[in-house]
Amino acid sequence: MPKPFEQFIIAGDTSVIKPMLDILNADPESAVLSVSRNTQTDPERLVVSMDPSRAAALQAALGALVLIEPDDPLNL
Amino acid sequence: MPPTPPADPPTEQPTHQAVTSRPRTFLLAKDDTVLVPASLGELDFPFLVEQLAADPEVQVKGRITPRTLRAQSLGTSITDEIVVATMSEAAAGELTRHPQVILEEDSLVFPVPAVSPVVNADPGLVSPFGVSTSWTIALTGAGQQPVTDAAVYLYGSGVPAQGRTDATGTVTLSLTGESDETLRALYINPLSDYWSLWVDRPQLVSGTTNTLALRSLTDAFPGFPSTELIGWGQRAMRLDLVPANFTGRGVKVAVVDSGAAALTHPDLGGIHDGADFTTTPAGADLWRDDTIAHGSHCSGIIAGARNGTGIRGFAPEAIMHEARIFPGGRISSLIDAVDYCIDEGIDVVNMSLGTGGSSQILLQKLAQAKELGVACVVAAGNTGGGVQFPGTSPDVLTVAAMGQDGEFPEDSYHAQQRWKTGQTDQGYFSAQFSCYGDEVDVCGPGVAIVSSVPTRGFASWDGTSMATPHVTGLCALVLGHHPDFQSGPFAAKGASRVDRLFELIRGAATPLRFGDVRRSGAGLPDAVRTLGLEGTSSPGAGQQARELAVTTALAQLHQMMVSAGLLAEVMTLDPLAVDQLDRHLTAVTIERDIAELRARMANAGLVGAPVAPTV
Repeated sequence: MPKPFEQFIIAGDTSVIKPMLDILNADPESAVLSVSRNTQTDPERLVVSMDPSRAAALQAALGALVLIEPDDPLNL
Repeated sequence: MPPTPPADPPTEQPTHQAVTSRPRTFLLAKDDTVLVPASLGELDFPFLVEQLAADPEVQVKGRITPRTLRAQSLGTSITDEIVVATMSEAAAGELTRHPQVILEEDSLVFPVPAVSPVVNADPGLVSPFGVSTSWTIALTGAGQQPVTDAAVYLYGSGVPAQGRTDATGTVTLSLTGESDETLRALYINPLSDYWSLWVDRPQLVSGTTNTLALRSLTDAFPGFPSTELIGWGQRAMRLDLVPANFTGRGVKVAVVDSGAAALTHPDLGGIHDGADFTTTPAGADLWRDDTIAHGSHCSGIIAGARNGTGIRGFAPEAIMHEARIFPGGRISSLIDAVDYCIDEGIDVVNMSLGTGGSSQILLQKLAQAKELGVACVVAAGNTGGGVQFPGTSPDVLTVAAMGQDGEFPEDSYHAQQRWKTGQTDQGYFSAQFSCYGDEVDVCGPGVAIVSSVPTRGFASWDGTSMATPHVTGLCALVLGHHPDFQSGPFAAKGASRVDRLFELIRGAATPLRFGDVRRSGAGLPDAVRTLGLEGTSSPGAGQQARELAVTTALAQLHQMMVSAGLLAEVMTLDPLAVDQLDRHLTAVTIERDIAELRARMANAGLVGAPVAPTV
């Protein structure tokens, strides 16, 4: 049974997010669900579905360059 | 209008009558170990039992006495004779007044595994024993018409059974291991136009159709919706005393929610802008499709059309934007919605939502929104615990919820929402579901709030979700009509404008004494005082804020006059002088007059250039 993926938000400077988007798009174990871009159309925020351990590893590798957080559901 | 009293309890099988609570069965005994006041006298237990047997409200079902001599010798007066009797709540209440009477409910006992009296949400822990029993419930409304699509919940000992009424207004619910005698509660939540219904220990009969009549909202509000209703919450905030030309015209308000039925609902027809963030890429028109009804309800409270029918919103001429993120809303979609609000130059955002999680990214986005002059008003949450995120953000105005006695039928579910630990204040009560904490800024009306739902109906709902748009609507009025925001330093969009807005809302609120200030913050916002329309004395914080403003303004004037040589000596301003001031002067008008005087004195060369106000 495949591992359950969870949804994460990744945000940071476009100089980091841009290459990260390319890497994640090429990663078969991640799915980029949406990309928010700034007025210059550069990516500044991603919503990605991936394994939580992979998200933790990414955060550990990139440190303060990006914020990777669970994209929690909201309640009404 | 006060709710109509419940109908008389049915004497036979309930058909087209209100379902009432079953009488409870009690164990009754005498305790002669307690001291009895001489005036009361010793309890004659056999005589009491004789009286009970003759009482039509009491049914003595049996007596329990020790069966052996040993048991008799070891027993106490309590165990000497125990009477089992079914009786009304009133009769039981009367009996408990005698100190020598012990009265306990003859609670149902269950085979192991023990079942908690509270509803257990984990189906894995529910007892699988017993046979399945079904109850059929038919709902009728005005003119004996079937009430369709109403959610019906039947509570036994474990997970409730739930379903929706069909086209005939009927639903059949089944529970395992339960009987008529073990049913704990019945909850009916109609889709629209009727009050909800909550019955403890419902007198339902399995295997037959139990027909219940729901109360129409029109019963409580005669003429509604043909005539316009100003909700109790809006009256509590004194919207009804605000001049009719205060409509929030031109103020941009966004509702981040489930969209709004702008195409079908007469009270939402003035909403023309929105975006949908439930799909990628964002859809253009889906915001008009409100499948949950939540956004329509909130939007009606804020901007329900002033058209003589239906409900009335706070700011009917505000420019409304619907940022649809539900169903399926997440933090990422909320961030997208805040970005939308920034891009659209929104003035006030309503966020009747929350999560148990947190997000630095969203916190930064909310801080950015505030810096750009976007005021975010957020619900505290409905979990009854600590304030939910993003209500914990320092850059938002956080709203808890309250109700008012007499504004709903006592057999509706609204009556279950009273926070029983605390106290009421002027008939207001804190809502038991409301989250609380130091982050709560104000407390808004959030129990039995009638507003618009798709497609053209009205529903009475509870939640901090309902309290929040009351405050958002007031924010729109304040931005549109308070002099502070028409010219001067707070007219331009920015963080200080948002701070000033929130300060006015908090400062003019009526403090509420529920027994825990974390449930009410500064209190119930007041439209008249916040808009600066009233100079008469007001309770608590609002009055203090104005007096502080007056004192400070007078001190400034005093200093300027001394500087200009118009006053010979420096005097200490007598705080009591404040009381001598015309009470119709508000802080705002005084500030404005001082500014004008300062400018005139500067022009006359009596003082230096105008300085920034310090109030």
